[in-house]
Amino acid sequence: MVNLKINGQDVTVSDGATIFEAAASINCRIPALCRKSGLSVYGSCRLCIVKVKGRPGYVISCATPVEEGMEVETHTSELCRVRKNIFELIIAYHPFDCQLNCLTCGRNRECELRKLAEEIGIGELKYKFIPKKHDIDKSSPSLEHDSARCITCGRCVRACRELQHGGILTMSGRGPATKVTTFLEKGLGNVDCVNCGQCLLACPTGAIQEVLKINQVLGAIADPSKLVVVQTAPAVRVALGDEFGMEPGINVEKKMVTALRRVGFDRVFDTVFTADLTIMEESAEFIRRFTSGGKLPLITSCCPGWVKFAEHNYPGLLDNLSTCKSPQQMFGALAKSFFAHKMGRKPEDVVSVSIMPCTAKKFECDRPEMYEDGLCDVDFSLTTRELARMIMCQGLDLKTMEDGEYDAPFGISTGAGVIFGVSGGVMEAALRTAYEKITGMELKSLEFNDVRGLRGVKCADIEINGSTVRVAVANGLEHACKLLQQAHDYHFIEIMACPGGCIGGGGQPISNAPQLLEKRQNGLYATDQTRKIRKSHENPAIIQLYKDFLGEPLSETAHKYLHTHYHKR
Amino acid sequence: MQEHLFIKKFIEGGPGPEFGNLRRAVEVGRNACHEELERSQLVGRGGAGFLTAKKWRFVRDKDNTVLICNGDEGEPGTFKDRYIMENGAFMLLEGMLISAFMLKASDVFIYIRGEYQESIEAFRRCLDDYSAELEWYRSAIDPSLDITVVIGGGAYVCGDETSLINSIEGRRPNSRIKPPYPAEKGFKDRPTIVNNIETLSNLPLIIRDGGKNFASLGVNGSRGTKLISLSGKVKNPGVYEIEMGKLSFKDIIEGFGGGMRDGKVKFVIPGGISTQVLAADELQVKVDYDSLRTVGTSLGSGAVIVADDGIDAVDVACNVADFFMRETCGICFPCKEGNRQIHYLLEQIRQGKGEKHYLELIKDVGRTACLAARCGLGQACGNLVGSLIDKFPGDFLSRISDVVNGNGGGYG
Ligand SMILES: Cc1cc2nc3c(=O)[nH]c(=O)nc-3n(C[C@H](O)[C@H](O)[C@H](O)COP(=O)(O)O)c2cc1C
Repeated sequence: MVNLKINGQDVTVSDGATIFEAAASINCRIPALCRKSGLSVYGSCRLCIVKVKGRPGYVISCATPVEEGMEVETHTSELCRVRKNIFELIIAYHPFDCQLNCLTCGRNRECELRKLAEEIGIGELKYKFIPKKHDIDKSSPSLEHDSARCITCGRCVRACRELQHGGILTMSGRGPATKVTTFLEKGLGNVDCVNCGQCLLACPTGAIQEVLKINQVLGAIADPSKLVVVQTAPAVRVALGDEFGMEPGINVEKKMVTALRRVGFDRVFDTVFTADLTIMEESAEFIRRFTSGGKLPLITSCCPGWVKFAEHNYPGLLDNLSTCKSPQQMFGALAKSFFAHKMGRKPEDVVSVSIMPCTAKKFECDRPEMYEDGLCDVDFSLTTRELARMIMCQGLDLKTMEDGEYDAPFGISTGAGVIFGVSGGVMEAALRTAYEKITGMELKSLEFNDVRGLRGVKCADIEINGSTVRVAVANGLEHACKLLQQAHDYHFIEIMACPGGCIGGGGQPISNAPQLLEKRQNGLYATDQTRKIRKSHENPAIIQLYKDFLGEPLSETAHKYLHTHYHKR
Repeated sequence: MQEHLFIKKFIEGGPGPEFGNLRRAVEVGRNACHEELERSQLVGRGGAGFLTAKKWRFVRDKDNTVLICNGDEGEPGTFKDRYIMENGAFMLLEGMLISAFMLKASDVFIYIRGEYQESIEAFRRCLDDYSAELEWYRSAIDPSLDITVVIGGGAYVCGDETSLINSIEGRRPNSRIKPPYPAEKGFKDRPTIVNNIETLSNLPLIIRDGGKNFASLGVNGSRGTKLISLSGKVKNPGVYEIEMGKLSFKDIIEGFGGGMRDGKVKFVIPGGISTQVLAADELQVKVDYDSLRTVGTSLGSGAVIVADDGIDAVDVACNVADFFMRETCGICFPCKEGNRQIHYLLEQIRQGKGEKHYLELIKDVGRTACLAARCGLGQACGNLVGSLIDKFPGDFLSRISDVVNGNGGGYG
C-alpha cells in the first residue's frame, strides 16, 4: 500500500495505482476525456493534469503512479483555468454548441462532453468558433462515423485494437488534418469491421452511432396493411431500464412488453423462444458431430460479430462453425413462414423487427444468406438504445408501465434461453440439453459454474456418459483470438464478440455505473433461476413447433429455415 | 572579427586515416571517458540544453542501451547539423563511436532529415571510407556494433526525441508520455539515449583535450563552442562557430553577418521559432544559455534569424502559427486545438477582421499549451508569437484599428 496526500487529505491505495485512481477513491473527480478504464493510457486530452509537490510543471494523473509521501493538488486555480481553456479549445473546433447539433445527436442525453462542461464549470465561451469541414461515413449497415463530432481522443481506436483485436479504426493525417478513419479511408462498411460497436461504447461524444431504423419501424407500424411483430433479445431486458434511470441490471421485461404494445407492435414475442430453438438444433448438431466423428470443435454462431470476424480471419475454421442461424434470424424465418401461414397472412405482409443489444445484428439481417424466397427474415433490427428512444418518443416512461406478458406461442421460453445474453450462457444451455439427450438421464445440477463469469476465457471438462467433453468460452475478440490458438484442444467452443457477451453489446445503453456488467449478468442468471422450465427441450411451445412444422432437429424443413452457411471474406 | 575555430578547425584539418581519439578513449577506458565528459560540462546542442553527462548517468549501469543520433534538424532556420554532416561526417562518426563505446551501445541509429539528400550520402560515404575503423571496433570492442541510417519521416515533430523513437520503430511520430523517459524505456522499450549531432561531434574534442580544457572555453553553464546558423536579412548568412558567452548578437550580426542587407534590425529570433524574439535594443545580450534565460528567451538550437524593419510582426506571427498548426502531431489537445486557435485568431487579425482582445486570447492559449502540452512543440508554441505581441503591439493594433475605422481589408 502507498500513502499520499491529495488536496491535504490522506489517501492509502495499492501499489501501482495512478493519481487519478487514488483521487477517485476519495471521491475527488479529476476531469478526463481520453481516459477510459479497460483501455491503455493515451495522455492526449491533458485535462487530468495535477500538481505534484516537488516536480516541475504538471503531470497527467491518468499516467502517473502514486508514490509514498506524494503531495498532490488537483484543483488549484491555475489548474482549473488551464482545464477550462483546453476544454473550450476543443469546443471551439467542434460544433457541440447546442444550437448546432446537440438536438440531433444520439448521445445528447449522456454526452460525456456535456458532463465535463459541468464539472469544469464552462460558462461563456471565449475562443472563436472555427468552421470545420466534415463528412459522415455512411458505408456500414451498422455504424456511422461523423467527423464533426469526433474530437480524436482515440478511445474508439484503442477499444477496437485492444478489446477486439480489430485495428479497424486508426488515426491518419497530422496536425489539423488528424482524424479517425479506416484503412485507405474506405469506410467502415468496406473494411474488415465486424460491426460490434465497442468503438461506439468507447466514444465520449456522438461521433460513432448506430444506423438508426426507428422511423422505418414506426412507418411500418402506421401502415394498416402490415402485421408488425417484434422480438426482444435476452440481454435487452437487463439494460433497457438504464435509459429510464432504473437500477442497473434489473429485469424490466414485463414493463418492456407493455411498452412495446403501447408503441403499437401487433405481436410482442421473445428471442428467448428461438434461443431455445437454437439449442435444439445446435445440441443435435453437436451430438451428431461428437458421436459420429464429425468436424470438431463445434463453434457457436449466434454472434454476428464473431461470425464475420471468423470469415475474415479464420477461414480455416468456417466448417467448425455451427450451421445454425442466430436466434434473431431463426425467429425472423419462422415469422415469415410458419407464423404468417398460421395467421393467414402473406409473408410479405409480415414485418419482423428485432430489439437487440447489438449493432452487428443490423448487418446480420442484411446478409444475403438471410433471405428466404426473396424476403429477408428480419426487416429491421433496433438497438436497446433505439428502443428507449422510441418509447420516449411515444410519450411513455418505462418506469410507470404496468406488467405485461409476451404473446404465445413465440413468447414462451425457458431459463436456458434467457442466459444466452451472458458469456457462457449458450454453452450452459446447450450442455443442459445435450447431457440429457446423450445420457437419457435427468441433469441434477443445472449450473455450469466454470463457464460463468466475466473472465475473457473460461474452460471446463464435462463428463457425459463416461466420455469427457472439453468446452471453452471466450468473450471479447482479443480473448477469442487467444483461445483459438488452442481451438483443437476442445470439442465445443462458444464465442461472443463483446466483452461479457451480449450484456456488454455495442447496442446497449451507455453508462458509467460501477459493476455494470456484473449487475446485468446477475439479472439474467436470477431470471433463469426463477423460471419453472430451465431446459430448452422442455419448452412446450418448442415441442409443439416441431410437431406442427419442423419435424425434428436437423430435418429438411429445419435446414431450410434455421440453418445457414458462411464464406471467406 | 574572427570565428572561434574549434569544431570547424577539426573539420578543416581533414580526416585522418584512423580515429585517434576513439583509440585513445578505448585505451583510457570507459570510466575515465565518463569522467572527462562530466568535467567538460557539455550540454546538449539540440535545443533543450540538458547536461549530456547527466543524461548518460541514467544508463551507465545498463546493458542493451540504444544510441540515437538526432539529425532531423527540422527547426526552421537551423542548418548547422547539415554543415557537420556534409563537411565533417568523419568527426561525427568518431563521436558516435566514442559514445557507443562509453554507453556499451551495439545498436546505433542516425536519423537524418529526409530532405538532406547530400547529408545522407555524405554520411553513408563516410561509413564506407571508415569501414576499416568499424571493423577494428567490431573486433576490439563490440562484434555486434550496428549503425543504421534512418531517413527522416518529414514532420517537424519527428525531431522530438520520443516522436523520433516512434518514427524509427515505424510508428506514427507522436510524442510518448514521459515518464518513462527514453533512458528508461525508449526504442523497443530498451534504455535509449538521444543526442543531437553537434553534441556527439564534441566527443572527439573532449577526449582529445580532456574535459577540463574543453570547459575552459565558454562561460559557466555554457562550456565549449556553439555553431550558430545565421540567416535572415544579414549580408552573409551561414554557419559560424562562437565561443559561448563571449559575443553578443550585435557582434554576430555585424562581425559575421556583415551587417544588414538593407534597413535596420527590427528583431532577432535567437534560437529557432520556439524562442522569444529579441528587440533591436536587446542585442547586446551575450550568446550563452544563462544570459538568454535571464532575458526570457533561450539559445535553442542556435538558429539566429534576423528581421529588418521592413518586416511586419503580424506576418511573421502568422507564418510561425501556420507552421506550428501544421506540424503538431495532432494528438494532444492543447497543442492541436491551441495552435489551430492561435492561427485562426492571427489570420483574422492579418485580414483586418480581428478584435483587440484577440491578442490577450492568443497569449492565453500559448500559456495553456505551455502548461499542459505533452511535448516541447506544444509547450513552446506560444513563445515567439507572444513575444512579438509584447514587443511590437503597434504592428498588431494597426491592423485592428482599421476594422474599428470601418475600412478593414486594406492589407494584403
Ligand atoms: C518539436 C521538437 C523538435 C525537435 N527537433 C530536434 C531536432 O531537429 N534535432 C535535435 O537534435 N533535437 C530536436 N529536438 C530536441 C530533442 O527532443 C532532444 O531533446 C535532443 O535531440 C536531445 O539531444 P541533446 O541533449 O544532444 O540536445 C526537438 C524537440 C522538439 C520538442
